[in-house]
Amino acid sequence: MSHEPNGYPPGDNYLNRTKGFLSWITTLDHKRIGVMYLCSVLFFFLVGGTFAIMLRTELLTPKSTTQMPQDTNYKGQHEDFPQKFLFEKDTYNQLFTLHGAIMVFLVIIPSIPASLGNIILPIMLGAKDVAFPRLNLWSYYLYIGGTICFLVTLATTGLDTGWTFYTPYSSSVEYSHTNVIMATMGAFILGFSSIFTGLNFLVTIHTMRPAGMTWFRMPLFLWALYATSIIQVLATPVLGITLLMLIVERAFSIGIFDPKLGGDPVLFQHFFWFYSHPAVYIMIVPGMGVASELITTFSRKTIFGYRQIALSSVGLALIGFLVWGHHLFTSTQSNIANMIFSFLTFFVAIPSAIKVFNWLATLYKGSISFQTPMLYGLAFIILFTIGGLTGIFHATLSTSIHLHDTYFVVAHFHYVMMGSALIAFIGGIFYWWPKFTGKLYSDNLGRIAAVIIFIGFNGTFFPQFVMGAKGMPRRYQNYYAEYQPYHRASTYGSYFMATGFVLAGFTLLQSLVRGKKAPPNPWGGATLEWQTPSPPPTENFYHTPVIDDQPYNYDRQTYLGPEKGWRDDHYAHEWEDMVAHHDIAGTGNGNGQTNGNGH
Amino acid sequence: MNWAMFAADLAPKSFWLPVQGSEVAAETDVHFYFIYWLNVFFFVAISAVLVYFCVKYRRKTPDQKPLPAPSHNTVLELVWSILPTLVCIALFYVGFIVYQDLMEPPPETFKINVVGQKWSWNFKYPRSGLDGGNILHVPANTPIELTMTSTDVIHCVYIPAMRTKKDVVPGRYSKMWFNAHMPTGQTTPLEYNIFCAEYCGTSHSEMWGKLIVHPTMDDFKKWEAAEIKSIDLKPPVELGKWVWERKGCKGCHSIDGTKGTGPTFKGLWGMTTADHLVKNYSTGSTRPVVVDENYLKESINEPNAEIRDGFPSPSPMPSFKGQLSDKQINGVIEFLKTIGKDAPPVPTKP
Amino acid sequence: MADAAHSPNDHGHDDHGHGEHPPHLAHHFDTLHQQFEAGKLGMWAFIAQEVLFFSGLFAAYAVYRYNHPEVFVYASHFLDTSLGFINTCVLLFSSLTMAWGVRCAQIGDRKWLITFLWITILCGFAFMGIKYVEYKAKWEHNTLWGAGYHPNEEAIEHAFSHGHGKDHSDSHFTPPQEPANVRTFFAVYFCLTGLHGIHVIVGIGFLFWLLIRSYRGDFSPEYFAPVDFVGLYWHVVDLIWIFLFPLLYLIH
Repeated sequence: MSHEPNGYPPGDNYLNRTKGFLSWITTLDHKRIGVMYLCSVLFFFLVGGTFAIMLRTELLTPKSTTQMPQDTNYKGQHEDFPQKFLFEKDTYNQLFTLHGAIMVFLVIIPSIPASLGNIILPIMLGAKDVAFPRLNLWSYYLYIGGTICFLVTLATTGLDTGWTFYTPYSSSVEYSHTNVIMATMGAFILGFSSIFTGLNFLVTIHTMRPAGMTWFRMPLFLWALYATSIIQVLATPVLGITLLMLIVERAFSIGIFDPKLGGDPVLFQHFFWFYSHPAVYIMIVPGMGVASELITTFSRKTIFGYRQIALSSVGLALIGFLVWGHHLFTSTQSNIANMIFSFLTFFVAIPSAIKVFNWLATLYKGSISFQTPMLYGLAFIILFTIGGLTGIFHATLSTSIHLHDTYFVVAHFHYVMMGSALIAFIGGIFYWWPKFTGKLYSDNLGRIAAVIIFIGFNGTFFPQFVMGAKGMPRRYQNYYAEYQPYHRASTYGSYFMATGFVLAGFTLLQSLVRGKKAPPNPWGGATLEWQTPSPPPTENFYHTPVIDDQPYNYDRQTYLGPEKGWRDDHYAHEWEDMVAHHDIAGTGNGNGQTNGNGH
Repeated sequence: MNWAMFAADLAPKSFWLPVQGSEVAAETDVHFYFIYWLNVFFFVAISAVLVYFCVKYRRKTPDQKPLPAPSHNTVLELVWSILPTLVCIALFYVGFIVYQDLMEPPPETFKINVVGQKWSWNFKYPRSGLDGGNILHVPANTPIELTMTSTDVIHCVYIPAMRTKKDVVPGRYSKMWFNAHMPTGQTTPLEYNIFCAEYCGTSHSEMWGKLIVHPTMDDFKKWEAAEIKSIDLKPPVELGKWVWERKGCKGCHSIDGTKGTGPTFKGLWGMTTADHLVKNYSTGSTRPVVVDENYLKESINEPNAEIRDGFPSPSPMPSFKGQLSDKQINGVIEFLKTIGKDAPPVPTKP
Repeated sequence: MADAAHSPNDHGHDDHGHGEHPPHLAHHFDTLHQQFEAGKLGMWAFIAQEVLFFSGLFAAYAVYRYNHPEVFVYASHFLDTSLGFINTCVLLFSSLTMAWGVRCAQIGDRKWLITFLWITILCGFAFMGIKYVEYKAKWEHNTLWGAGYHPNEEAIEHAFSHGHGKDHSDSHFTPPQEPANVRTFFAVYFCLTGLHGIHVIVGIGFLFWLLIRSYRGDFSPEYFAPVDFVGLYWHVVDLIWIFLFPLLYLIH
């Protein structure tokens, strides 16, 4: 009973090794930093989501009762619309700006890499920590610094420039009277947080892989994070300098972007999108990594076309740098430039398509289990397919001109950023939740929430495709009554989706209070993080693991029932230690944890 | 091949797209629907496969093993890499061809200048010198070329019916063209929407213009002559009201007492030092001012000089210096007098 | 960045069964070699990041110079080439002493390491001092960014009579026609040199940190990573100036 390998006392893990607030904010443990990121990100998801619901509520009714002239689809609305907006015009503009800025900079970009990546990446690598733990904590402090800037922005005059900060609107005090400097400062600081996280992961993956784990034996989530890190390190500094120039422009009227002083406002758009287009891949590539893990685990089958998926992540990262100009198709960019950017943009479709086909092929002849994380994985495939396919409209010059800056674009990027990246994030949380909290949640509640979110999401954003194609411009508070049915559908969809998120949140919180103790490997995952206790010990493993095979070998696993989960023969040694440490329910006692239902 | 005819067959009453106002719009729509059906095909195929696999290979017992299947297949992987590549290159090519039609105007065009400012358009006709305000009148079946610039932030002219849009950027001139199409038998003018599609501040979502397409050049010229005459002949009050409606005042200044982005015009004229405080943006000092001709003229030319207390400082209003003639400014003043402090109530319908 | 290497105090809690660590090996690395490689790669990634950070400004420079070449030719007359040249030499020399310092750290020569660090730091201060003289002149001549650009006569004379002014100092002097938007050049100039100056100041801070650790005797032939990494940073800052000098000063 008192077998204590590596000096760990029984029941010791990263959550209970030290206690107290101070032990958390000074921690160098990647898992704790990841958990802190997760809490912060989810908090801001709630804030940004609240703004979204407020926006949708405003858009239930137009102010205008004028019908759209000459429109063949006009059905003759004669309702009496209230003539008053719910929010003042400026308030509305602030709401959509802050919704965008918070969701992009505070939620989606740090979501998978900084929170789940931090928790999982070193464990998947069999490492004790990331390469630079102090830099990692510093990244988190920078993140908090950035959020404080955003909170100060909220508390003062707000921000009304749109999350894209286009000049000269943002760069001149004459046009935007809001706290642009504070918000851009926040985004600047968050940028460096993101750079340092990326740098850390890049180095960790390069130098800290365990014995036997060659590049092509790395789990696909790590490939995705590797590709993401490249973008973070190489693209984010350009955002940094751009925002710095914007701050200097606004504070000292330096004249780089201000046309009145001889500057070029469109140059800002080039700089901004040079980062912000690759940033789309910072958001989506890790999501693809999560999806790959979910699909292979819950099909119990080696991923199909491993190398193709791995390399297509890197391919996306590289192509992502070459296509920023497709955000400027209508902004007086030359026709030649538009042609080149359109051509290059199409090449984004290929690695994306390859991934979807490979995921489908993985399902083929698999043993597919529909536990909560897998539902998010499948939702990811469907929503990403829609998001990706509708991207073709935007890559194609002729249709792109019409659809640019309409709700069609809004719907498209919500399918990609929310329907794909955020859904993968939520799926990842449900997947790794038992690992880092040590608790099992109610699978039934989780599945109901997933279905509600999926339906609500489509209800919210599919109507936006229709109204966008019909010419409804984005960032409009007031609109022609003709578009109202679509806006209504969208708003009701968003309420439904919000219910789903509340239920998902409830499921997770409930598990913290009443959840059963999670076994080391509840799903039958083959990657390294499942071969260590849930929650893992401070240094992640009792024994430094050695790899001798591709990452998704499910043949060696035995199912021992819901409480003990799955055992991997290759890591039998580790399993014995876990048994000795009472990490597995029913195999010991006295570790202070709930031992299932009365075993 | 007549793209437009084909388009008309494909989408006579389109669910997805607004009314087609030009032949280029019809060409674009063909392309839209081509991509659309391609998307539908891929989406249905992928979803069907997904659902089929999910049903067929669902796990029935907790430890069910998967069926033996290869973990990769070079031929298959090559096929699904190369096939999308070819489709994409084809799509790019067609898209670019139509795009050239959308962007390259024919050599002979009818030119109109556009000035965008917060939050209205001003369409000017260089040939006649007419200054048309927020409504763009054009003759049908004539290539129209817009030369556009902005006096403040970036705007974007978007005409859904023409399937075209272009940013209007301060400090440079951008160009856009379209050729409005007139269905045979149509003898009255057609009316379309113009939106601003680039976020430009407070009233961005109300920066709406109108496009009126006259059936023939003669009709257009008749309208133009009548318009010039009517503006010239308008009595000052009428002219002032016309300026208020057409030159963007309306977006912020109501005439029925509603508080907008700027102070309402109702009861403005004749306010005295007792009830009218203004603030200077540069000095920040506040002082009472009588609303008279000088004050109004100054406020039109230099909105930041004396901002009504309680309204944003600096003022979001653009300067109208050089945008309005003296006659028009006088007209506005006369118009304001009719709805001033001591004026009898007037009907508020614009 | 140089925190790749941890002092033993930071990870003192590391007491479970790893046996004896070398004093500067962090708990999560297996060997000093692995730790050094990680730090080095991290530093190179950071440098890549720095280059891209500056690239935004270089791109702005390229765009404006391509669009308005005459502005750059005209405005570069206002810059003092000889001061710029001296600064280039100072930085190049400091790079040499820095490299030498790294070598001394590698062979464990503490005395010379400290000497070279001091020389490098003094060069850094000299650079900033000369920069200050240049900025002060710009301030006095009203050749600043944006609306701050309205050069006085002294500035114009200083800019355009320089070099050939001595031969006919009393003859009437006619400056060339000023192109539009010269202020854009000064916007780019102040952004680039200002940001570079901030990097020099940060570098000086790092050098002082190395100096303290050298006095403390932290470095040895087994453990000299921080010196190496700060050296890399210093060279990059130097390299950026090597680009700035011709791009800004040597146009005409």
